[in-house]
Amino acid sequence: MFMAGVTFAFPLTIEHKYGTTVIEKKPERVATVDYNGVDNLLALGIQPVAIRYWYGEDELGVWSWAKPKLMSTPALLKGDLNYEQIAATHPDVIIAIWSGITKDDYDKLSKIAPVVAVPEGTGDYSMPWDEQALTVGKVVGKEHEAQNLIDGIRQKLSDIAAAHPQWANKTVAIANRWQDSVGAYTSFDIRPLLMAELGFRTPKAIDAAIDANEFWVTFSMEDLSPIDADILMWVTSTDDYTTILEIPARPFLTVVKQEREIFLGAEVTGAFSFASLLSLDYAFEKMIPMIESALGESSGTVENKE
Amino acid sequence: MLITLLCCIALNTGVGSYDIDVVDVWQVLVGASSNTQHQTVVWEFRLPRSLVAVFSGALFALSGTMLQSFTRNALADPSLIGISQGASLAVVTLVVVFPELGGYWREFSAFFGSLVVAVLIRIFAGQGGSLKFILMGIGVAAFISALTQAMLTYGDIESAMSALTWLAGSVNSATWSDVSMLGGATICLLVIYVALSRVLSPLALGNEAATGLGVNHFWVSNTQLITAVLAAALATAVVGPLGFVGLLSPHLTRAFIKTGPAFFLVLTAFVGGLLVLVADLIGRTLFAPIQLPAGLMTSILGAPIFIALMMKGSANG
Repeated sequence: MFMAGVTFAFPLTIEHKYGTTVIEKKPERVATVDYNGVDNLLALGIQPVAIRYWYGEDELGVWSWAKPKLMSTPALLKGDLNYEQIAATHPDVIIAIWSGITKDDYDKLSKIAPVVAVPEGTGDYSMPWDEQALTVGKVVGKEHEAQNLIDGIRQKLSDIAAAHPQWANKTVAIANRWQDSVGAYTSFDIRPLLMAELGFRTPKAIDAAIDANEFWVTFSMEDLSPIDADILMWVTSTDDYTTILEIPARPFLTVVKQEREIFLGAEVTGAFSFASLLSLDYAFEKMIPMIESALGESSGTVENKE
Repeated sequence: MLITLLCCIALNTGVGSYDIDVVDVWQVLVGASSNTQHQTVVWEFRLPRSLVAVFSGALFALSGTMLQSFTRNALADPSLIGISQGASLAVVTLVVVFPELGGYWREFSAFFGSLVVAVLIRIFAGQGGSLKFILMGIGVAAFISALTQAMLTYGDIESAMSALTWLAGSVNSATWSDVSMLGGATICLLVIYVALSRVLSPLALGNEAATGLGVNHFWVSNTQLITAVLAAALATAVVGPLGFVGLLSPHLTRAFIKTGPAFFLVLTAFVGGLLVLVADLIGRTLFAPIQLPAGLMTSILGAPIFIALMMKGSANG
């Protein structure tokens, strides 16, 4: 874990599920087709030449935690991957580790520049946040910086956990309304994984509802008992919670009656979902006071310590 | 017609998000360009894309024409009677259940799915009239679409998303192997159909009359059905279910020109190719650099053209 591979000699060889990619020299012009790709590049001081729009109010899809670091105007990829548009930015390397590219996409993109895809056996969107950051770091020749930033976030998480020993083994359900059902993230998802670093657990009833390693599971509106945890955390893409407040069975949950619900809101949900070197700091800064007040603790413990 | 088509291919190859001027495109095509980026953009991105659009359009058009002739009903279209849906269900099942299988499995399963549907309809409809065939097809199509939806809900989010991209109908990731397969199929079918065309005119008079004129109805109609299925399935496997092309192309051709069945078939193939090519060109340039999938554009463009055509037809009649 500590300072793994301090020498970042190019040419760099990366094995992935579509083959082997060799990056001859430290790339100057970096394109990313990852939906959250802009964050980690900016965190490492790289101005990308092409970025992928995911969602959000910002016209470039760059969120508040990353915006101040963006100094250039990269090409914005929206919808189907437009290969020509990427070629026109003359990239030295294309990063695709959270993008869902297919073999065909990979072959086309490889004609433009070397492409870094996910390792064999890793799902299109299931590379852990730290591995994403470290891969980006390696590719742009800043593995050391990336590792330092990752360690910094880890340290912060363990500080938070140490400051809240009472959180250990409390359960948190991270849920959203999806059309006519209510969905929750399982312990395979990045969000519960991060909460676990703070000591929280995912309710057993949520993990019991999947048969393999799905990261998301839906429940019938008629029986919401699986999400009746110590904390019920709602993630939403808007700040309008009407669809959640309207769920008929919600008022009968113990967690709701005892007011241990948290509505993260669009911005914190986004920061949590991007799970990048820039967004995680932001997410936890906003979330900690919310968790403290939901559990009826005095807020501000973490801020006071720092 | 050929000239229009070539002009459109040229146009589709000449414009795009990567700025290359026409002279440079020409130099790349004749092999005089030393700019490797230009070569990549033209040879790897634009040309295969244009050619796949043309050939898939031609195949859909031929499939539609043959089905209309087979059922003697102007409504027939691979997506109306469940053939496209059969291919879609088979491909979506492949993507969701066996995501690791790539290569030609997609084409194979699409053909298999379509063929099963066609045979089922054939059996259910029995020796009944062609209207029965179409009505059966509509029923089967609805049933299969529901199964496809269920498959998408059942599958995990990632494979469902990749299946959805394909279902929208896109020529974005066209490769040279797609081009050669679709191109080969188009040429083979055209040869078969031109050879068949001599017997198609008497068939239009009705089964009994055609048999009286010496046409082996059984062989001809089965060849029509199987080749129509093959054409639609191959095109669907590569670009996804493109709406309206099979239905529209024969009608559009008929509106412009009155001719014998052989030339008509060739023209219809051209019209189909042109439709998809233009749809892709507009989809690519309208909101550039954002691309709209060709499948969306064929429906957006096809529906109004079709309605206009029908209104013109009824005004004349």
